Amino acid sequence: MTLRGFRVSEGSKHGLLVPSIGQIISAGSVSMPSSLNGDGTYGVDIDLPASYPTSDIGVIVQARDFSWCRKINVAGVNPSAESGNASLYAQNATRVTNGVTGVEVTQAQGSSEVSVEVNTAPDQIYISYAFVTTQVTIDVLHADGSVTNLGTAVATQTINTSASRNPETVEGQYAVNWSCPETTLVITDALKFTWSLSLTAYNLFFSGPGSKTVSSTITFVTPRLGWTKLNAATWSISRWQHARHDGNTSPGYSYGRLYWGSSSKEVKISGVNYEAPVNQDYWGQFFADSGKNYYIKNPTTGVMTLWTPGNMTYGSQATWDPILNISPLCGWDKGNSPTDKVRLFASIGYGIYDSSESEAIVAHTIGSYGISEVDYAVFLKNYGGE
Amino acid sequence: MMYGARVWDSEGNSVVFTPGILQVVSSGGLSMPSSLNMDDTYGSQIDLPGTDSYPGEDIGAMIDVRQYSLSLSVQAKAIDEPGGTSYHFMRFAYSPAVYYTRDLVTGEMAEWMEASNEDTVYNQFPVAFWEKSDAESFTAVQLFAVMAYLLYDKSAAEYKTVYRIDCIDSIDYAIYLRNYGG
Repeated sequence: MTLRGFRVSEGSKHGLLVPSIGQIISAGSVSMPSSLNGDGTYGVDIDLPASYPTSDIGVIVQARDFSWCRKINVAGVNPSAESGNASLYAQNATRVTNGVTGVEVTQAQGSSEVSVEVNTAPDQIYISYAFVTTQVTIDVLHADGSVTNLGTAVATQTINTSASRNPETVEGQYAVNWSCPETTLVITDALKFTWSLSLTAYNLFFSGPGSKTVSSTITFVTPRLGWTKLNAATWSISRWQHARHDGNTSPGYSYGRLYWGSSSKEVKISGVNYEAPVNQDYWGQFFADSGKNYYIKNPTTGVMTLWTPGNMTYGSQATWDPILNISPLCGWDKGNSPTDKVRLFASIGYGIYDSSESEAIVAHTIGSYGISEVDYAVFLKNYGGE
Repeated sequence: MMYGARVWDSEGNSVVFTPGILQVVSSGGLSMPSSLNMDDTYGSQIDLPGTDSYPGEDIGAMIDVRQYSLSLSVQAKAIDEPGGTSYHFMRFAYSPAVYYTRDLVTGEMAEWMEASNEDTVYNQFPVAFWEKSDAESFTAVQLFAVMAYLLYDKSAAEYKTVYRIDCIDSIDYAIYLRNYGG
């Protein structure tokens, strides 16, 4: 084929202007939209002078600036273990740990007194004397709500009033030792204490039954402890316990109480010896953010389909979608040909491992988590038509 | 003195066409090949006009990766944290895939044989450029576009940059030429 065109020469150098030479018909910077187009595609349209086949068009697009979205999780790994001693104190507060609601137990001494009571009212014939017993069942409370029992109805303490006095109160801080067995933990474990408060009141003066027993249980729970072992140790399990009978009031009654929450009246477990992880390495990893919009792009049509990341639920691997790489992705969204405009596409591309599908995907974010502005050049040959 | 052709419009604006002006001799989008070339380099050849060869300093090329795909080996590790069990994922070279090293001078690609699920991947990103090799004049421009992997080669105990040619789906490009006409 004979090449026909316009030749300019300067010495031995020449320039040849022919129809197939590409010309830059549009160039500059343009802002990218914050949402998809109505047909589900994304980008900015640049008008061409007329309609041209895509084979005559060229486009270069480059990101000027961008933002991106992710969540990070930093986990401690490869720890060594260090022993420690702790005292646990019941607080005037409730908490939920591993799905169990109970009186909060922490390592800080409380300052606000609270109590629970059992009594014989309105059966006021039981006013002669009273026995009050407290004991506790101790469990390891796991992340899924299941328990491993360490001791059932241990550290029992009984106090009583005397029939020779009316009314009479017996109370005090009572400690009972209990041997905690060596127990392996995971750091999501907590301790659950189920306290039992029981009152048996007696009737010496009236007809009818000679005694009556009433009882109650109260659940106490620690936060997740972050410990890896309970070492074998003697725990001192202390509680403020109260017994009283009173025939001088109307109605008269007997009752027992368990107090906790303050330094003067407390439920306290001391001598707790444990191992906890120290000197950990920390792994940080980015994950797709379930609160943001990610899209999968159809390479043929350019249509963007919403993809929802997992929400990083503890214990559910399928909900953790790690980000493998992040980079701007720009280009000409070619669509169909011929065309009287070109579509500039620019997003942040993410390589993501979709855990629920066990596959790597490429997803995109746009708008405030995408590319705000691009530089571009649009080339056209045979500009002028056939 | 500059010799050329000047074109005027009715408002007095003008443009000068000289031999030294860069012209866009080819532009568009294309899919990347799935195998190496016969000379073990990689890329799509875009012929320059005519049969003349042009010196490298008269040529320019811009290449953007428009679409890529991913595959790699991921290993999840469950980690017990105070808040619960989280999952972290290590990235490894995907042993069924073919990774290449590239000679920086000749552009020749050699298969990296040691890819294994023990070679940790630290980063991956698309790379695209004009594969000039060590040539000084050209009758065609070879467009190079691959996915680069920065990884640790455990068996060799060293860091490596390797490439996969099966991950780049499409590119946009433009090739510029001055002194077009010989």
